[in-house]
Amino acid sequence: MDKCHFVAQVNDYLDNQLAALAKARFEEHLKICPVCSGELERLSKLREQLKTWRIPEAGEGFESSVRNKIVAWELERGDEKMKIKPLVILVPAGVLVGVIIFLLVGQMYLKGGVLGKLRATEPIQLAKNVPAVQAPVKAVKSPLTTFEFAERVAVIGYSAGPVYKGYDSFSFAKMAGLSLGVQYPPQSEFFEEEYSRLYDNDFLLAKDNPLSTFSIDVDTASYSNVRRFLHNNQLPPRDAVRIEEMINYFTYDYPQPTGSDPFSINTEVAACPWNTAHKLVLIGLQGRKMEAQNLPPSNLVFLIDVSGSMQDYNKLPLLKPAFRLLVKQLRPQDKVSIVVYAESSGVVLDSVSGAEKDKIMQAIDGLTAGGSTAGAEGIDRAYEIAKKNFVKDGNNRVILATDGDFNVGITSESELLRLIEERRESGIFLTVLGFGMGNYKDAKMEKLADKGNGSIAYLDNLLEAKKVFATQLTGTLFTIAKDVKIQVEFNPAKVKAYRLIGYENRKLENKDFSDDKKDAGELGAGHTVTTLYEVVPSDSKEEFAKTDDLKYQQVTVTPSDELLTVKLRYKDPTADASKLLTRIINAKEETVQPSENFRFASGVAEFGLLLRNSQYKANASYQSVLERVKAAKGVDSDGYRADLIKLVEIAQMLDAESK
Amino acid sequence: MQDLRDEELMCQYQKGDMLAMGEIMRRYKNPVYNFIHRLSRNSEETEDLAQEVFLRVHQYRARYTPSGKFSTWIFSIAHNLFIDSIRKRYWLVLWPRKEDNPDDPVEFASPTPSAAEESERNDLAEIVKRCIQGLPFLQKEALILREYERMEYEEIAAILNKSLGTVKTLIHRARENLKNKLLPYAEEIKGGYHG
Repeated sequence: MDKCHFVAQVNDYLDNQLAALAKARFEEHLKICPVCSGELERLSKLREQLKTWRIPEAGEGFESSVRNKIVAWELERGDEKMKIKPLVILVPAGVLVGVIIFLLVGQMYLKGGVLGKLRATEPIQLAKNVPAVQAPVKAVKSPLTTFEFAERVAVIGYSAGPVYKGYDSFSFAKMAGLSLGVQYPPQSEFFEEEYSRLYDNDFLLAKDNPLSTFSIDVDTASYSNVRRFLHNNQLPPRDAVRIEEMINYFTYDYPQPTGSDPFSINTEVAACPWNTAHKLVLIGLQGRKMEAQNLPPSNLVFLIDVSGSMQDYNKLPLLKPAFRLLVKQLRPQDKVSIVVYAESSGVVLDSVSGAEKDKIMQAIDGLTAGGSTAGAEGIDRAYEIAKKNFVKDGNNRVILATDGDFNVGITSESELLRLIEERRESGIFLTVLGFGMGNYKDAKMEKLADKGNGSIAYLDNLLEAKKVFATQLTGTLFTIAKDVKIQVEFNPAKVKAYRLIGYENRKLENKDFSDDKKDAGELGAGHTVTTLYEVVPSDSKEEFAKTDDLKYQQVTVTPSDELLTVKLRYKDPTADASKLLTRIINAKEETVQPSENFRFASGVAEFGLLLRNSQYKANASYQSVLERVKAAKGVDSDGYRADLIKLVEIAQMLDAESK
Repeated sequence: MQDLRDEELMCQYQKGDMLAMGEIMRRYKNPVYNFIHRLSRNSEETEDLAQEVFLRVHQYRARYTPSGKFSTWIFSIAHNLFIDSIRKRYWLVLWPRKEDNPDDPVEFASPTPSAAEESERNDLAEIVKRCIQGLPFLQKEALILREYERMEYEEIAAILNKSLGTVKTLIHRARENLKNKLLPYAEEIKGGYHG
């Protein structure tokens, strides 16, 4: 075959590497050179051949696997940060000690080494040394924020063992160090989270609707969920924000009950912070605290979802240390069973004594996730076991741990609910623990807990697990009053209109209040429940929707200084008949110096109004929330209130960015 | 989000916007997966390595500077990761093989299918695959980036950390090798393989 000098340019031509002029010249050359045109033809043919090798697309689970890897890495990084902490502290500390010794020895050497002299000069020298010896500490601090640094300092002496060991003595700062390091994967359209639509309660005229009735709610899941979104730098969807659950996430400092009733009722009236023309009324219940050793024996059935969807890092791997926290506190008289369910259900432990902690721990450690989810069969089996081991006058409870993704079997929500409702009659309570993020079926799980005479908590980190299983264990596990309903009667002489803040899906018909067949919320030992009403005084000029005057009945308003009457019905945990408590709030009780409880609860409520972008937010602002909750933070020994302040700050930034 | 350029998305991601990460992943998961799949002889590790690329994007996101093209950056990560994975497996073979130097005479590195075998298989895609996989590593990589990822020489040079001239030679050599092996086969399909 003949050769041509230009044949090497065929590749350049093919790959569009020739400048315009060179390209034009080469095209001319191609017309007359059979060598080059032949090469071009061969290379073009080759290119066509190469196209036949096709690659399938990346697998369906590709993106979620990447997200899991990112979460795992962030978690691991959090752990590593913890591990290097002793080093971070010890090195500067060593340098510091070295500098002091060097200076002191130098001092002794220069001044003839007389100890007496040294003692006389010591305090002054130390004082002088202060700036010098602090320098290395500052050098460590500089790349960290103050908060991170505080966390790191707090972790001196923390062993590198698994996080759950020695948990009881942990302070919040350490736990926060674990939990805050985690960046959750984002919420995007392919994450199927379900929230029921939630409409704000409207203002109602006291004259037309003097009664307001609702069931208490001690659930706190919404707050954890809101926190999850904010930690992920996203404002939560408005329907995920349930203000009463946010308020009740926090414990308030109400007095313990003194009489025979299981709780105390506390009330307070002050100006409404986000609309000073209105009043805010606080109604706070404080459940009687019980020491763990005085609790009646427990018959606990852990019902654990081990389907494939539970294998994410924040599901089964978080569930294990969380349950270990609980198991640690069990007494010999307590009984534990474990039922797992995936495609089918199975009994892992059947009524093992709380004394056999190793056996229970081993069973928990051995759980692995895989397969699809047949929730209903598992629930059935768990209730069966609970019934079989029923302890009379004891605490009989099924603890369901799941991400709520029931995707096989009886998955219709109403059927599941009916199943749970049937079981409730047998005196077995239900606690629902929500794990995970992607398919967190919030709406379904809350209904399950409601129907099962129980509560729901959403666990997104060990700190939250500690709250549910350690700090408030007695409240989580022991119900002191069931079917707790509140009915407030407003006095039209003092109140023009009112609005219940939150409790949108807890409202009851007025007639349900005295109907003992109507189910309502449960109160755990030591739990507090706080409710806020925004009240418009009778002399207000504001207009509200009202019904037309009646033709045949006339409503007369009795002059009175009473603002409202709180009526409360509850049943003892095993009783069928309810008891009634009442408390009157006088208009004169209004205070200009509201308590810490009032200021903090109103701050949380205002935060909720902002997150929900409520039509009733009036002059609410993140700034005023921050000012109020910071001032009302109180002792905050567990750091939960400090955590809220951080969330408000994040939300404020996100909100400003979105505008 | 869809309207943003890759580089803008990456800046959002650096600021903590995880939705931007999602969009980047949607745009690049298949190109990156394809690239590694073609380089790798072991299809099982492909998915894992491709996922690892996005983990590294997350880990090193602060190091990305918007002055450079994002595609160059992510493919550099993929390239380095792949080299690392090979080194891990064959830790003794740390240096590029002799024939990977484009200035040296090129030999076909691995046994290529004999015509007899191929006529039995009679599957052009399979032959193309095996011929490409038989190329010296750098030739193979440069060719894949050019032919399948449609990249310009400059970008390939930046990803492989080679000069423009080297990249040009690598691609020419790769084509030369493939041409000799594949074109007769194409003629055989037409009905006249002699050889």
